[in-house]
Amino acid sequence: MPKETMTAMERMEAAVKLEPVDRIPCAPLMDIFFPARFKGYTILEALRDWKKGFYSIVDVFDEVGGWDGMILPGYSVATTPHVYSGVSPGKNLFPGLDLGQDEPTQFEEKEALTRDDYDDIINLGWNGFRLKNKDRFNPMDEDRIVKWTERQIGRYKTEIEFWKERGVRSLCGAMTRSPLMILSTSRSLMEITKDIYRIPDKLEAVMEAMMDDLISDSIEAAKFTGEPGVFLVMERGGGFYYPLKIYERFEYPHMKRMVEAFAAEGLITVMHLDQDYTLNLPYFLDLPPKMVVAELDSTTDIFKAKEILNGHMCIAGDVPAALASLGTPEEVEEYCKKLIDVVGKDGGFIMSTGCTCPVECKMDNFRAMVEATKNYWPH
Amino acid sequence: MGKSLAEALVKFDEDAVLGEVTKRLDDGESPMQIIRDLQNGMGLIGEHFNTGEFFLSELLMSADLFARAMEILEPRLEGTAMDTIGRIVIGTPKGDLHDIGKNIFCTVAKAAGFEVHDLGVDVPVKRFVEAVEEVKPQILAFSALLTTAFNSMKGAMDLVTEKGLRDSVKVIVGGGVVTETVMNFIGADGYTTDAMDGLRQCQEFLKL
Ligand code: B12
Repeated sequence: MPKETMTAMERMEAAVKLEPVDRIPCAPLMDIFFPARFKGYTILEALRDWKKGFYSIVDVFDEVGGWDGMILPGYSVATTPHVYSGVSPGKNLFPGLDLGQDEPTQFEEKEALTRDDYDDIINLGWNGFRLKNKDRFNPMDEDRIVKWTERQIGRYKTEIEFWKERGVRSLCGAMTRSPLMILSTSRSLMEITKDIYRIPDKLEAVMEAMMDDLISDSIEAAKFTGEPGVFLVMERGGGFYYPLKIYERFEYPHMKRMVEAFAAEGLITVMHLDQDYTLNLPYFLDLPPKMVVAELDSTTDIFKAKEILNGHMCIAGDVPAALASLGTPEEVEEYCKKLIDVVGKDGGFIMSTGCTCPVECKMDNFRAMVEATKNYWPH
Repeated sequence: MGKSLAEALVKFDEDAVLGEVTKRLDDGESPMQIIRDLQNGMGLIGEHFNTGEFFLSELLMSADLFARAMEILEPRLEGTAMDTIGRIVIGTPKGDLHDIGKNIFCTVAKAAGFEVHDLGVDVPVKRFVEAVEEVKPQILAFSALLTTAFNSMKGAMDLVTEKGLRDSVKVIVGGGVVTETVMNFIGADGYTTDAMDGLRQCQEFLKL
């Protein structure tokens, strides 16, 4: 076991800032599904009851002897306390309502937004558009929606503070998505792709009109929760889906502007990059150094990422969901050691689960990831 | 003429493709010939995709157009059976409701000449086995995006084996969360996270 000379907080900070570490920090991305299984709660129980949900994560933390950081504090959503924050096109299927009581939420990919909505977004901005369409996307009355958003962000802040007291840093005080990610999930992958090829100028104008609101809301949320970081979700823009010409027009400029606007406020960005972004990695060198974490889900070649981004930005990831669910502890340990050997060399790496800790993860596999990270330090 | 239809499909030129399909039908041409031309177009797209020249978005655009052309053509086949190269039974197993990836694969498989029996999403274990008994496919295919689908797939495979059907089919599993570990866990013969690669594997299976 390496001799620890840093606190968990220092270790996380050093990893993000690409400074020397005494060992690699571990900061799993985790929702409440796996912790609920561990506690023997149904997913519905853990979702309905914030305390049950959040403290199951804490119990997993205690079960494995703790770790260094949280990418997200765990349960709640970082909203802003405005009505539009609780209004979002698209439908989640919920356990107990649309699914069995013990099934994780699933997103229903339908055309919740249509091309006819585009003019309104251009004219009203993203928040104005959501306000105008409030009843269509969330028929609850305004008071209840605002109470919900206030409760979410209040709890989010409480969760961050809870971890802080335990010496654990949560990297992100706010969450947002790129315009392409929002539109791809609310128009559907097929329809947004048609828009890209058939009405590119219009689509570009729509994305432009969304930007200011997305940026200012994230900054507002991060200021409220007090944690200087933004979780920026991009799962539908990489080389898995689109040629670089499309990336350069419909994802890259927005990503860059968002990251730069956050950096200007002293906020780091954790780019949640799901699906294969290997082709897009060289573009990340244009982002402000030491202000970004590229968080990968195992489909991007993390070793290539190290090669390209070394010395420029921190990398987090990427224990694969399938390995965590079906592998053996020995296999997980071997995988993590390889990550530490290669991606952990010279620091700038945070060990994490790829995208999230899957609901079917085995506790022994999860423990193997945490322990390998704490005990293995060849550098 | 056939060449231009294939080319229009490669460029996903909607007006040209749908226009020519309608025109050739009106001229009395056999729908089967038109379908063959479209299939050739999809073949070209597959080649572009395999060389890395085309991306998923281009595949999506042309597959969508192919599917729409087929909507016009299929009713006009009037009972004439389509020439097919093999049968696939496919579904997203119980516990998982995702279907975009599955639908893309279904279209490219159809375009390559497979007869595709799509059981939909959230498919119970028993339904897969019934379909294998009914359709007698050469290939059984699963699509999975969630780890919750792993046990359902294993359940389906166990039942297929129990019923003595395992040797009659090749099994492939595809979807964003799938790896070699998943293939081994359920005991499939192939896995992929790429529809065109999956198609290639299915074509190989037929040769065995
Ligand atoms: C975009 C995305 C989302 C979006 C929308 C997705 C949607 N419509 O459901 C949002 C943000 C809503 C989302 C939410 C969640 N997600 Co998500 N998401 C993704 C992501 C990045 C891409 C999925 C996608 O849209 N793919 C596009 C299609 C076209 O690709 P595809 O399905 O893979 O299909 C291609 C091939 O695989 C192939 N193919 C597909 N099927 C078949 C079948 C055969 C036979 C063949 C030959 C080929 C083939 O053909 C297609 C074209 O090549 C994946 C990452 C990944 N690695 O896949 C995670 C992923 C699916 N999500 C995951 C998770 C955990 C979630 C959440 C549970 C997170 C949470 N904590 O709430 C939620 C809810 C679950 C859900 N998906 O509904 C995990 C699932 C693993 C698990 N733990 O079970 C994944 C795998 C990420 C990861 N690495 O862990 N997600």
